[in-house]
Amino acid sequence: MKISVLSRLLLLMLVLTFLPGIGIAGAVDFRDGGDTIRKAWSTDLPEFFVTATRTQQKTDDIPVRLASIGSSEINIMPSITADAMLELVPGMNIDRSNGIFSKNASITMRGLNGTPRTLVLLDGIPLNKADGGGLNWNRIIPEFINRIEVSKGPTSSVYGSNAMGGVINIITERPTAKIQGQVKAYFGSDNTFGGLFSVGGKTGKADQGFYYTLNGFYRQGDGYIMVPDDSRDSMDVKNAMKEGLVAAKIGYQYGNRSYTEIEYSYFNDKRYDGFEVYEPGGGYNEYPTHAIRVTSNNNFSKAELLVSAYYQNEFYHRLTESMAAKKGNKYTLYKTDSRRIDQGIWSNLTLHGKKRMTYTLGLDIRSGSVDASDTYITSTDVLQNRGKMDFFALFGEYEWHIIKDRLILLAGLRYDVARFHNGSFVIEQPTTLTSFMADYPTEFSDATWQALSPKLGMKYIFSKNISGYLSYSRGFRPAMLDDMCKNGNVTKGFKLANPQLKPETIDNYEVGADWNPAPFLSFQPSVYLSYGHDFQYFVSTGDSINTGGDKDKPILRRENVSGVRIIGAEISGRWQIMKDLRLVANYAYNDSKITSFDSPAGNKDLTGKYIVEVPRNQAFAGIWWNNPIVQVTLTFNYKDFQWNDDENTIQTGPSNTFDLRLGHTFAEKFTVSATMQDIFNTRYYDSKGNLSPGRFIMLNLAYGFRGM
Amino acid sequence: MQNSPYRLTLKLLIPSLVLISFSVLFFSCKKGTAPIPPLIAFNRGAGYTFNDTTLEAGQKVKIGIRAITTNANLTYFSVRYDEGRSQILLDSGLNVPSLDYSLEVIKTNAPVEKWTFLIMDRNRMEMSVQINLTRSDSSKWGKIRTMRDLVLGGQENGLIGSFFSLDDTLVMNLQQAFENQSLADMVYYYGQYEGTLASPNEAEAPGFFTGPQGIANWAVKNETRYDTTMITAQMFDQSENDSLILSAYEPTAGKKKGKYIQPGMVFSFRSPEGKLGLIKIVEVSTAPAGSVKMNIKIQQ
Repeated sequence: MKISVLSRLLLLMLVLTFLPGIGIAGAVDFRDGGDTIRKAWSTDLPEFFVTATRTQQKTDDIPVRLASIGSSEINIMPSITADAMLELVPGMNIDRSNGIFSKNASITMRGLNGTPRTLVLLDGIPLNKADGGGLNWNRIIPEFINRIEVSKGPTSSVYGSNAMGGVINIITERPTAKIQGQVKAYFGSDNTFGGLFSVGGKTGKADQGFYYTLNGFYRQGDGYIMVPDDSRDSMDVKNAMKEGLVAAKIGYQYGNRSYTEIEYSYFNDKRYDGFEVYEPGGGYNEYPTHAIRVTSNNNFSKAELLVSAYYQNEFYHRLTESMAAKKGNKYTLYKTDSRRIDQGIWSNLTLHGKKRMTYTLGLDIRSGSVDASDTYITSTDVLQNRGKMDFFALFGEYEWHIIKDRLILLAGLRYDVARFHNGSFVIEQPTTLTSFMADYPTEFSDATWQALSPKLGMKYIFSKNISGYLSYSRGFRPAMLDDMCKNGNVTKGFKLANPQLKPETIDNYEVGADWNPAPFLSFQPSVYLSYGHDFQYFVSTGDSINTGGDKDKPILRRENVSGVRIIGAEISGRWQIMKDLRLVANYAYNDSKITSFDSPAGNKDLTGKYIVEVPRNQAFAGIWWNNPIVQVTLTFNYKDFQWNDDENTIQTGPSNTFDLRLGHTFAEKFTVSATMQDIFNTRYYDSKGNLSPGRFIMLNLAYGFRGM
Repeated sequence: MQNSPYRLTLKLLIPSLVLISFSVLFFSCKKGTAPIPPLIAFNRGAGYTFNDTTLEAGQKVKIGIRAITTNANLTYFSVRYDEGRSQILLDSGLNVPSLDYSLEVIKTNAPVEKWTFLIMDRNRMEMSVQINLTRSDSSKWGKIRTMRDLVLGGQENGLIGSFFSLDDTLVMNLQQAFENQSLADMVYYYGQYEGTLASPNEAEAPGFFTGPQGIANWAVKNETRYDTTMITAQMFDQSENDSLILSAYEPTAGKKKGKYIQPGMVFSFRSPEGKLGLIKIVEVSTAPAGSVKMNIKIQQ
């Protein structure tokens, strides 16, 4: 018998009602050593915000829709991965359909699809790679996060590339006590187990002295079979995984907001595809990644200078194993080795002038490269592609409090110039698998493009409880190196590299408000209208090619062909029902359509079609209840159906899941908790036809310490 | 009292740190091995050719290959043919400890053919053997059989059958072909690539001939290989022995179907029994219920 969503919610509420009465204890934040009891669900915005303008600024002064997730919420969310925390922010479309066994997660926002259209920062450093435009969410461990800041809407006037839907900035912990940290062990479904440690400390006074952190993390699991029972065969196996991270940070603080720090991290994982022919475990992905950054922030009385340098080296390894039934069970095995380097120096200087004016000037230099090879083991072919993109940017921002504490103007402009060079695609020892590619160029011409990203926003504070803002901003994302210097098979045909591909841009017009009708109640509505230009789609060249099968495939090239229109609205609300009972809810609507499709004859005109992988409606609700016996967090997530193909013929969803976390703290230092995801086991299919893991339970035991 | 939390901390921290660090390091390390190439040799058994040989054009020989792994399984086997330019007859991904393979070669008109058999293992270690087949100067051309004005119907043609037996010169409808699967060498249909001559084991043909007797339900599906040529209709008409057929034949080029057939086109083909031939398209009506008229010349 099927139980409706509403019935399930009521049933859970009923169970919770029988739990002991509301108490006074709070969620324990072990990064503060467990001694500090914080108010949970403190998702009200912090007093200062860094991400929207790249400088510390009073949150109330920023005419942008902002969101923040604090460590206290991270501690009590029924989430196992960092990306899932973003459910708290309206309109975040999180795709991690295989849970912790997913080789990656995807987060998009504001009615846009594709990871490259959202910029993600880790301590202010961009994680999006120049090669594919995406990032590896598995590298980010929730227990090591201090807070997450989200600046919504296009933010390229400050950050440049990828900031089309918005910016997510993940800020890690900086120790404040002499010694502090935590040790955690967990065991869960699918024989998943692991542990982590975090230790840090600080010498000297509050604003002065050395500090350090040392973090380690390891987890592994047997996984599950993603193929439904009725279509499973002997080659479908569990999608096992293992992953680990070590990170160390050391810094010196020499004043209020003045510090210099260096951080190094190494991550590695191995995630199997769940399909085994001959190789033990089948194909897999590995992302060993070295990352190092140096950040220096210097706060003078009337100025603040921030300089960051970073270097990220991801060695991507993949083993692909397949048995093509359509080709008479043709067996193929090949390995991919790709070195993706992203590095840069970012800097900005903020000056606080007279008459309540603030000026920020910035200079960014950035470079991304890829050096990749596909080496076949079931043939002699070796494919190599290389390419490099250099970026240079200048930006300026001007903030003026036209009427003190009432009317604020924020204007910004950024100029980016980028150069693609050293592009090549070479085939060695071709067989029938790749010889058809030999007729295409192996060296690609250099290309240069520019982007100008303006921003204009205004905020009016009507009273202490209500404010409103208007804004216009532009965002862009560059072409991916993968599209500029690599030929190869894609789902719809055979892709030719296009080194002349230009960036796509989006213009966003937005109005929003912050309303606190009572001290225990707040709402944050926003409405926006976005127009996208030069969006990139695969377009047929009119030619076809035989790639070895019975049928010829169309030859495709990614081109800037499409215009897009997005009408969106979102609202989030918080209600402190009682001292230890709080409700958080949000809803987002996005109508994302292709409005023009300027492609050569012979291509399907996608005008009027919806953008793929964008749910029209999304909703989230979370209730947190703290009592002396158990801390309870129950969340509900609804996602409308999404189109899977550009022609809008295949759809997945809708989906709705309930997640639950139960925790108990004892002896002030120890917490035992259970996280249960998808508690009603509503397994759904992703766009590739794979099943979600369903109900997944993780038991945690944590010990926190803090010594002053 | 103040020290006790630190002692507990250290007791928990140090083992955790060691455990996690080792775990991370352990699976990031890779073992190294010194690979040894696999072994490959010609089959020297009775009936096999294993040395460089001189043959008459059209003469058939059998070549056998035996390969075995030295440590890692064999993952790739290829057969390459070179008579001035290298072509691949067979590319095969596999995962086996040993391999036995035999190939029947029809000597083409080329003066010298170099056949290369290459094996590779899981460590990408390669080994290959080669044999040269030289055409005899005293080659005599073989006799051919000619079939004129042969008509095959499209998949929706209720009057003319779509299947053809080369040996029996027999046109069959679907029911007759189902009952004589081993005789059906060719099939005609009108589809994505317009008029198409195919083999029963070609991928798209089962989609046009469906039902209980449909090709998908056949136990035997013969394979005829087709290749487009530059031969003109006049050259076809004038040929009286298999010299033109052998000149047109490229061992590596055949496909399971000949597409976009038009009047005047000449296709080269190799029958399931290994006989070579040419097809000249005389007429084609462009509809599933239409037909194709053709002339065929095949080695006797």
